Amino acid sequence: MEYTIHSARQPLGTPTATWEHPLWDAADTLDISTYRWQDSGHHPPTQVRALYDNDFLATIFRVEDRYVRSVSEKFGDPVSNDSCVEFFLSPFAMGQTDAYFNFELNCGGTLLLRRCSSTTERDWGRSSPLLAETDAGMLRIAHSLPDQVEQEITEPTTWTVEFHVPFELFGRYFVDLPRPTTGTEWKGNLYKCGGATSHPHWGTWAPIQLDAPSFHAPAFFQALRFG
Amino acid sequence: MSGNTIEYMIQRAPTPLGRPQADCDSALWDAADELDISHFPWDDSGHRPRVRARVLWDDAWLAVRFDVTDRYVRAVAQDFNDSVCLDSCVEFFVAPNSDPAQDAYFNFEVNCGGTMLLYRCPSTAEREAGGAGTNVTDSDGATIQMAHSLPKIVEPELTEPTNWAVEYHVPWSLFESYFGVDPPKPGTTWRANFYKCADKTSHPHWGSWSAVATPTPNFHQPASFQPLYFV
Repeated sequence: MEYTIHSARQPLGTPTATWEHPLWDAADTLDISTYRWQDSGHHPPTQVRALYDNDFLATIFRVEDRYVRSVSEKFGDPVSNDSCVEFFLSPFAMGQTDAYFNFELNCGGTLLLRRCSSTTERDWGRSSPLLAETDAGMLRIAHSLPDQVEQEITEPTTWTVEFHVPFELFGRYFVDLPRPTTGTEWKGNLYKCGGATSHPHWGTWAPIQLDAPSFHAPAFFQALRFG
Repeated sequence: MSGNTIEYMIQRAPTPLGRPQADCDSALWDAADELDISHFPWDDSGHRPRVRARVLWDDAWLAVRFDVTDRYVRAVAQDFNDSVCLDSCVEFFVAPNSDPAQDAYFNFEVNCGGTMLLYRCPSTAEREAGGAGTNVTDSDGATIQMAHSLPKIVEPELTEPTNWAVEYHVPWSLFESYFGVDPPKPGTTWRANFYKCADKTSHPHWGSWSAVATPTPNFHQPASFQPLYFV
């Protein structure tokens, strides 16, 4: 499987977390709908669209959810325990090095972001550093729900998160990285989880052939092609 | 010599430094200010890794950490005082004195495998009088604690994008032995510069924190040193 990240037809502007914004008419939509692991049975329909321009990669998630919670509030907090969407993105083609960024955002727009080690680096025992907070601050993030959803919302609730990442940020953690242009191939996977909500679940775009939930599995990344 | 004056604040470690980790998520290092090696003025391969350096101190140690966003990574020097600057290398030259005229310095040079080269380099006045560098002895060198994220030897060169870190802790006794200085106190000022090079990799480059005003790469220019303030 693969997903095409189209070039934006209008300026990306600042994120608005508006799924119906005409900006996104140019984007393909992918579904996070693979649930292979034992869970609560709550599998919220989750869709993603991504676009790019010269300077930014823009991604929006829409989740038709319930049992929604968001308590992590600082950069680097364990947002995957909350109602959370994730985009793991390796800015290299299939078959090349598999170092990646793990963009993880809860429904309140709180971010966790590491520069995750490649298989080679991991074999040497290197763990995956959180980004410097000043670097993480280069992301532009918008979200439809409040920052904090302390009391879990059990009713059906559709929420969105949109974030724009400057390509400059990739260059800071992946050296000599050319900006993507038409035809450039990167790779990655996208996820939905809610580890410490009342209804935990772990969904993926590309299937992960592992027995237990683990999103940190770059061997199962699929091609993301810039259109 | 250099244009703008820049400076760096060495924060005091909030907890004892302990042994170096070169690990990623040490809360300890959150306390440190960060500087970038961003001056690459000389003809090079075009490969200019991103290098962030941080320094902390406590009663026992001066702690230095480099995080490098890199590729074309190589480490073949493996013994203390081998020519580590030919490998993927980070360097910290520091004169333990606030007076720019008292510019004798240590040149901590470390390759990505954690091998170090270290001399007590002469002051400008000593050099003009014919003085040369003093080799730091193996036993003194062994008082420095070192940690590194890559293997000790990286050969053949690793061309794929590879990020790496080194962290080392220098006991104050080493500065006392070679410069006769006391450990710093809050308010102490030293002077230093930070560098990145990789002379014998496939993609040589020469970068510094404070700009060095020489026509060809030459890091041994204490006139480029800038203040480090112990907080």
